[in-house]
Amino acid sequence: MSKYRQLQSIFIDRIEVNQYIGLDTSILFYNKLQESIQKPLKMILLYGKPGTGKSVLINKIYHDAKDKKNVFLISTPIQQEEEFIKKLYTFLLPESTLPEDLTYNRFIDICNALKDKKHITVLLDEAQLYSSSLMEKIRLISDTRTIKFVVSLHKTEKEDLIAKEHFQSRIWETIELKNGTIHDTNMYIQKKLIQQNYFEIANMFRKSNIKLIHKFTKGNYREINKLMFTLFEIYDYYEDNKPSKIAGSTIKNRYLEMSALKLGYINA
Amino acid sequence: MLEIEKLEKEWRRYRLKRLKPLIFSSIALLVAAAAAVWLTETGSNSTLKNGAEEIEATALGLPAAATKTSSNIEPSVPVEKASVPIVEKPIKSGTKKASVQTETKETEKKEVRMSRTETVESEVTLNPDTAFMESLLDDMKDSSTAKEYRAVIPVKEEIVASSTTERKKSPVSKKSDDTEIENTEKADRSKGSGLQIQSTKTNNTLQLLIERFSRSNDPKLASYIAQSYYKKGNYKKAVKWSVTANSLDPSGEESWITFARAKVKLGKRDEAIKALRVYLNQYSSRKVRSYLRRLESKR
Ligand SMILES: Nc1ncnc2c1ncn2[C@@H]1O[C@H](COP(=O)(O)OP(=O)(O)O)[C@@H](O)[C@H]1O
Ligand SMILES: [Mg+2]
Repeated sequence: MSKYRQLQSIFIDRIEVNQYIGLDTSILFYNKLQESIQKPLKMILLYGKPGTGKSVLINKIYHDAKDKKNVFLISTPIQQEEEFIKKLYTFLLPESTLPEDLTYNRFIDICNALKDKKHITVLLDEAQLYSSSLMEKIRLISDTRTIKFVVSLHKTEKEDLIAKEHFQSRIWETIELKNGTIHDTNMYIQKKLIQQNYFEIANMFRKSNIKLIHKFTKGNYREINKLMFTLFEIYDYYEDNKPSKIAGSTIKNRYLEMSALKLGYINA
Repeated sequence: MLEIEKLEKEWRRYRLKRLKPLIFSSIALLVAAAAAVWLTETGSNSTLKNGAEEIEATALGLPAAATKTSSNIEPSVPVEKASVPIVEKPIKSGTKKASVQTETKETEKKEVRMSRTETVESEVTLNPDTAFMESLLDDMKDSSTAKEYRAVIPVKEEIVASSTTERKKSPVSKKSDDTEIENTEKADRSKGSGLQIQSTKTNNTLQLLIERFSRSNDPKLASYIAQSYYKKGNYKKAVKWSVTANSLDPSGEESWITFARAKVKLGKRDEAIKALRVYLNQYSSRKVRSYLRRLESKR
């Protein structure tokens, strides 16, 4: 695979814990989330716009959990209520003991019975996909204090409502992830490239490049990925077709602008 | 599929669109400035003709005809400000009058000129397009000489000799064992800790990179570390690491440039120039040459 193809692949959206990058803000939230998990809270709300790194963070937390037996992750929402309850049950008790007709009410009883004997933390990613009735049940389950939930959801007006209606009464902790600053953008790009040993490429990004990237993407990591992917797509093309165009030791803002045009951040 | 031609075309359109208002506004500014010059000149001529009463009027705080017109046309050009305080001087004899008037004319012109350059300057800061021009220039230059240096065979002995002399001059002694890197690192951190609380995390990354370097001995990594130190303003470290990078790969122009830039920052322009000349004896690099030229011209 050519160099720029490889560089493209670095910026494909994916959640791989070993590629987690400690950015100033993400470290802050990581610590905050870790602390919250230690506290006797029932629920923790992690919210923010898409692409601000919620899934990455929640996966990292799951991965780093020392107490693997008591921390669980549901990355893709189980929207079916029975299935969801079953899943929770298997987190608490061996699957072999799973009752045929496990209802929500029965599960609440089980949780109450386990009170003071077992405490687990369940991380729910993409929680905006749970129906509000299931969300309400999740809340009631958390009231038994047997299961603590970390709920990660996108922040839109609608989901703001969910947050208010269901949770505000008994909250807990809320952590809002935000887009990165120029500094975060720089660190993100530098670290991502260095992680894969692309030192010379990392060096090619100058302040003005970073400023422009931040301007186009607003520091949203998913958007940064998209922009970087497209940038290297353009570089890959030029390397094969007009190599003189990409000679030199800095990234040309022109190609960043072309990428932004392609992605519709700006238009001609 | 990437339709690059279409994208290139789109980009040119985008550029033009962004340039247009700037071109118009700069033309407008120039026209306005020219108009202001013309008006103030004719205006002050008229005050000359009008004679003493008019000047006395301004001294009393009543605006003269000239200042009125100029302020109406172009309020941003502060022409009248200059004329008022000078006219305020008590004027007694006819000869004096004339000299005062010429004085005002001169200062007016100066003012106008100044404000002109000011507008040009503010345009530059507002305008990100200089980067675009640079990139165009780069394009042109790079295409002609980008790969030149590869053709040149490195003369190793001389380079090693030269880089060791540099090492002697720089406070950092010859090194490649890991322990020494660690020691100097620690010393550096204790010095810098008070100054750069904010960038402790960045320091940690550098720390990681340095550890990684001790395992890989990758010259590119050393060069990266050198440049990182340079960016942070730690020029001594930048020198040290560019020397390290250089000792592993003498042909890498980046490490030489970082070395030279750091030396310049340390007030050792001569050493920087010497080093770049040594490099150019062995390799040809447009970048090094142009940087050397810049250094030499600044002397
Ligand atoms: N701390 C981080 N380390 C590494 N990559 C990150 C980090 N934060 C965000 N990203 C990148 O941004 C992309 C989007 O992040 P993600 O967690 O999926 O956002 P969200 O879940 O908030 O929509 C990820 O695929 C990843 O490539
Ligand atoms: Mg997500």
